Amino acid sequence: MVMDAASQKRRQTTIAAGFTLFFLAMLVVGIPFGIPSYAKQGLSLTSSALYPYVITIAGLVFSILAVIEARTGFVAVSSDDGSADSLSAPSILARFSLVVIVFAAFYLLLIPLGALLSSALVFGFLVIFGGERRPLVLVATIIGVPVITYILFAKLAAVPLPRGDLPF
Amino acid sequence: MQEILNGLDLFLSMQNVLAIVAGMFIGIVIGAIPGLSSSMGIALALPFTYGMNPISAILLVVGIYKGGMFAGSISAILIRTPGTPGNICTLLDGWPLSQKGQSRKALDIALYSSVVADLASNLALILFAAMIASFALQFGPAEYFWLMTFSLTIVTSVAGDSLFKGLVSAMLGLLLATVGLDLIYGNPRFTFGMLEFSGGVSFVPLLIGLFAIPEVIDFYLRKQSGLVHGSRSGSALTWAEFRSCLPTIFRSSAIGVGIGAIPGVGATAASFLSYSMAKRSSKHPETYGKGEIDGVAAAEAGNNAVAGATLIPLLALGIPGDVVTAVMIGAFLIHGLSIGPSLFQTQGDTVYAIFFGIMLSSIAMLILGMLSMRLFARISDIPRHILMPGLLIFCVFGTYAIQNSHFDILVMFAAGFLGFFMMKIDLPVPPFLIAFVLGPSFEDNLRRTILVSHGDYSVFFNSYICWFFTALTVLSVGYGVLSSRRSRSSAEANVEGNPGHSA
Repeated sequence: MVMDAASQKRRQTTIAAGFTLFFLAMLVVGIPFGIPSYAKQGLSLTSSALYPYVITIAGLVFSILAVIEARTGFVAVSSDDGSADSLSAPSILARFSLVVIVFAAFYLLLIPLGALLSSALVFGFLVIFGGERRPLVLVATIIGVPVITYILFAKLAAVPLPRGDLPF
Repeated sequence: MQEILNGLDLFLSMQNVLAIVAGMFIGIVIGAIPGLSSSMGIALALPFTYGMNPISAILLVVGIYKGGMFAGSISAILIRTPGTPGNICTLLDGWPLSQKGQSRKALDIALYSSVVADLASNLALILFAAMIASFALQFGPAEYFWLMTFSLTIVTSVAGDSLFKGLVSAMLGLLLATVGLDLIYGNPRFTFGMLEFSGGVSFVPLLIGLFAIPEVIDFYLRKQSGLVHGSRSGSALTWAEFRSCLPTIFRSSAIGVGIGAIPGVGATAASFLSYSMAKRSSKHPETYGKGEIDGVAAAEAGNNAVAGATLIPLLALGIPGDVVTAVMIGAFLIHGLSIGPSLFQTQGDTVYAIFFGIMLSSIAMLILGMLSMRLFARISDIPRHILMPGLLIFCVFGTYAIQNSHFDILVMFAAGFLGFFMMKIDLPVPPFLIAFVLGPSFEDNLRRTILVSHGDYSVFFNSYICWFFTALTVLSVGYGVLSSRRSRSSAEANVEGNPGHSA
């Protein structure tokens, strides 16, 4: 989907303004709270906060220039409006949520179930979600891919992958 | 002359040849798997070298190092995941080539430019080791600072459509690089009490997350129709195409050798510099980032030329140029070889035998590279709905393998969402990554220079090296701004001819 020029300009301005706000927030909140030594040393030449402070100021200036550029200058028209092909916004959101859930599940299951079982579960779910329905391909890949990857890392490269409660 | 002949005599044994071939094979396998590094491969191989003669042992680890450096390009081109940080630039054009069904061409140029650069690097090691090492020793904090400043100006070349957005991205990268303990005083910055962030944001999880995970997310969001990725590999690289890339390969090799000889700078900076120079000197810079074989050649020649050159300060001065050569010291120590200037005087025969083996490594890289690419190129045949979950597993296992950290996986996923977000808002990732890589060294050298000089800023200009890099920095920034304005003007001119797309 191709966005029209005015919408693209608005989008680019909003994005640049968002970065301006981010850098402002870093100056006001991020650096004072994120660097404890800032309270004691301030911004002296030897302060640990001086360098991040200078970078943030530079980021602020560049983001303001990006806003001006987006408002006044030429904006390249993107062929991607941020949505995925012809899917509706709720559908995108549902899929994005699903991806987040799968990633979170993989992360959380890795230690209790072990690398092999958790990867087989995630792999199986994603392959089916991806559209594969042939039983033979499903069985072969759900067993084969995680096992081969596991052997490559755990046995050949001697990486101590999480084993969970399984005896291998 | 007698030492050279003795060295040849020492080298000519089947065990030495097998060692370099085996090392190269292990290196290629390790390098092609994201998360597994050459340093890890060398560390694992060290115990096996106990029973070998010193020359075979050194050649085995040198083979792993060089094989790993080249093979990182395979995964960068085929699955958008650089095997090593030095291959980040390779994917900028390698992956688009792959998407166009020209992965074979991309892999071919990656291999050939790697071999040429490796050969150039080996020759530099053999002919100019002592001279280059003594030049590199003249680098103090101020010289490093200017070198880093010059390297950071590369962001203007890879900023994309908007220079300011590229600079915003670079500032975000510099800011993220400040997370962790302050390098000078050890004060925590943006750690928020989390011990895992004390050492900063881990680089490889960030790298894997920024490049590989957005592809996975994007695939499931779009759920692209057509289960097959595309044609297997496309046509091979022609002699004419290779010949047209030769100037870039030679220039990038020279950059790689120069950078490699300076301890602590590394293949990533060399690769970025080479890519930037290639783009700037190209007659059609607009094709870079969209599948330009010259871009792949520049990146690969740049990073592979570092491999031989890093051995210059190691052998001549005993200074490891990067993490891998630091691990390689272990192999020298195990076999009672004391590296440094005395090595050439006391073990001249052994050094020349190693040099002969290193020369052979380029041929081994060519042959094994051609064989392995045929195998790896089949990755393009795998349907994407099977490749993507497999890639996810590789990313998770590879990230965990770096330091056996569960937390790193979280960092990788977070970087993945960040990369996806950046992709969607057209914020270029390369400036972010260049700044993140060079940021710590830039800050460290800046602050060290200020501290050592007690606030006397003239120290930044007290050597000809400082002036040289200052001039290069000014020229680079000027050129970057000028070319950005030029490309915008030409884009505007194009749009005027097509009002439907104007702003």
